[in-house]
Amino acid sequence: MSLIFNISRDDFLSGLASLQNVTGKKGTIAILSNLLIESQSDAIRMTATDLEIGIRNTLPAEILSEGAITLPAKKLFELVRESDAAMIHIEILENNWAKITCDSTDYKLAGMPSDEYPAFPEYDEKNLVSLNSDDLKELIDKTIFSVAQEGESQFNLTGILVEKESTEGRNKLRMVSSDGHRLSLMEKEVESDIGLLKMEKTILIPRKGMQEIKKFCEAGSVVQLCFEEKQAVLKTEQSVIVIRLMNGDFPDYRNIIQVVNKAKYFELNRMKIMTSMKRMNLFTEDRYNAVQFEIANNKLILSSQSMDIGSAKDELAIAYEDAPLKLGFNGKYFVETLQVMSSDTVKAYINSEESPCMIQGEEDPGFISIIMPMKI
Amino acid sequence: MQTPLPRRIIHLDMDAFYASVEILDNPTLRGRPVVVGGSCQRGVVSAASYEARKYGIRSALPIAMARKLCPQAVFLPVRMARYQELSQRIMAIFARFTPLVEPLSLDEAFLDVTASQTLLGTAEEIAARIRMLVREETGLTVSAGVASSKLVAKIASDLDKPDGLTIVPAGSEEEFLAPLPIARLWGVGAATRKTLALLGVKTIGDLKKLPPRILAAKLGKLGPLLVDSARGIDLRPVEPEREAKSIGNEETFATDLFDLRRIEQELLALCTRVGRRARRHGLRGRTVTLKLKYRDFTQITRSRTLPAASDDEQTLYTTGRDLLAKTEAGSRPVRLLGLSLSSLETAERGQLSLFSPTTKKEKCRRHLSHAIDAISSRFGEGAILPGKLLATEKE
Repeated sequence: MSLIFNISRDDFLSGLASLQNVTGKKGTIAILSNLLIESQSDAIRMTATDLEIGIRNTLPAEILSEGAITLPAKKLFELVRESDAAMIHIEILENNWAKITCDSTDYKLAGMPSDEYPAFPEYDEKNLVSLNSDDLKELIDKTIFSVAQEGESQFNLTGILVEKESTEGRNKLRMVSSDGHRLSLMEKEVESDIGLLKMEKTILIPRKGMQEIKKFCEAGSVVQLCFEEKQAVLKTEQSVIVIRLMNGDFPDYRNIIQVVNKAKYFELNRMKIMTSMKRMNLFTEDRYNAVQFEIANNKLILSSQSMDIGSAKDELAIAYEDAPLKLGFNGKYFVETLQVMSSDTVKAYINSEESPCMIQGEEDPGFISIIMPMKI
Repeated sequence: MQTPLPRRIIHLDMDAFYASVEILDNPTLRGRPVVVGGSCQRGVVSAASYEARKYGIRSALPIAMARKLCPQAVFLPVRMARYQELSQRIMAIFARFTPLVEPLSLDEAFLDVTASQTLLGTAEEIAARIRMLVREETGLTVSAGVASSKLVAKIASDLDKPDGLTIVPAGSEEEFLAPLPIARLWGVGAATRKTLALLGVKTIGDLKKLPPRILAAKLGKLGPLLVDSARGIDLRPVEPEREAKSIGNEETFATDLFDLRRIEQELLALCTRVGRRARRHGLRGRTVTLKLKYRDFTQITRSRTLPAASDDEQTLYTTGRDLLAKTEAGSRPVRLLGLSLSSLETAERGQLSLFSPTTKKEKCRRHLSHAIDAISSRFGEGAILPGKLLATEKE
């Protein structure tokens, strides 16, 4: 007997969409560009993996005959997306051919046998801890933008560091990311009993995995999380994602935060400086996005110039009465940090042209951003 | 609408540059065959005076062969620093006439003088003035070709060497090229020449008579390209100052090296040179590439990306040595060793790093490098060397 089922087009489409990012596109192993589809009692279970991340979700379906098959993920997604049928009928024929019927349209899609699909990683349900998904999402949102691009920096900076801290009965989760030029840290008190989370080893989750976790968090209000020897597991009612942890250590970020001298700082309106910075970024050279800061007498003068285009200059009122400073920053770094914050007024602690600048805001508890200046 | 001015491009090529400089510095050599080239037994001819060329001595000919062809020639070592000095003076003369100077090497450059003509006279006049100024200010001669494209200008400058000036008026490129042998065109080597000879093509003019279909069938992509070239069509612009993509040095050894320790010494010497050049140009690089040629001429490269851009020879050396360990150096004779630094960024304007360079040790090393650079530039390369390299000097 081979797999035959009916499924709601909308359910199927959203299920397929959630798997697109982890289906292999590079084509090293052909079957990885396929999805594994297996029947359950009154559902189908779909699995996708790129061997770093595995996602599995369960969708309600009418099973007419039990079985399993793998089908090309992208083509299947595309044909379901283009269909306006309410219900889609799939029937597996001989030689792994799938006959797909959407209203008046018939497709024949070549599949591959299900037994060649890699096994989904196992995990222990007992380790799972429930977490508020908004908390987890916020932690990711406020750190993911400063993760190093692959090949741009050291490998161990291409992921987000996850830590937990329990003091006096209060539980905190912390995420830290850095691309070597800037660092973002977000910590948040959580209500769940994260004491049960096994986090003895450095937990480093690659950027892509974090993006998928974020999507999981958007789907429901509670997620279940656990860390095992080599993997992170996140589960919702209908889906589970298993991400292989990165091997390696994260640089000593505490030391960097500690050395920032908080005596000297200026205060500024977050929206004002952000929009001004966006204007300055129009006139920076592509590679470094250098924006010049001149700070003196309650005034911040921002300027940028590009050899090919011209120059831009803006003047902002700030609270600063210390010795004048003249330094450069990558304008993009500032905008990205200010964008994830919510305070009206932010404080920028700056000591010298070559020391790290720390940005914090009253209404952004737990958030720290550090940006290194550039020599101008 | 005004039609744009036809481009006027001058190709300037110093006559037997290295050899001419040697004669300039030692006038007793005038009129004698002079050969400049590597000093070791494997060296090749870098330049030959026109007198030496009469004996069939050409650039890239092994020195040993040159000695056989003309035993009475004066053989001199390469004095690169002196050639560079004169080259700078010559390039400075070129730059007086247009900012669009594209140096191809120490002794050769393209100039786009299209826009200079309103101010400084026609391209022909400019070329004549440049030739005169070079002779007056340096005592050397330069040949020039004036045409509407790089391709034709370069062919023209070579036509009346030494001390020649060839002008190809706009519109007469095809006519000019037609009688010339096909090998004058870029991209035509021995193999293509043979293929074309079978089709009865000897001159550039012959090429245009062939149906494009046959040309494409015989030569593939090169076919249409050659037809364009034969018509004198070459739209490539003159590109001033090409930004350096990498900084590298390599060394072909007088005798193949077996001993890994000895190879590492050579590597250190290379790293010292590359580091110094990077610092002199205010550049740092993220990628270190090691190049190795074994005795049988098989060549391999191995590279690694550094966590942060560097100009420090110690970092280069440690990385280079790791890369060397991945090769067969030590078990297979090594003929050539090279090291280069790429993914360059300007050291001064760079983004400062959160984690790396400010450790005390690295700061010290940076100071040390700068001190060594200062000593070397005052007392000459080799005035101060790593101890490991002193041992090689003695050997």
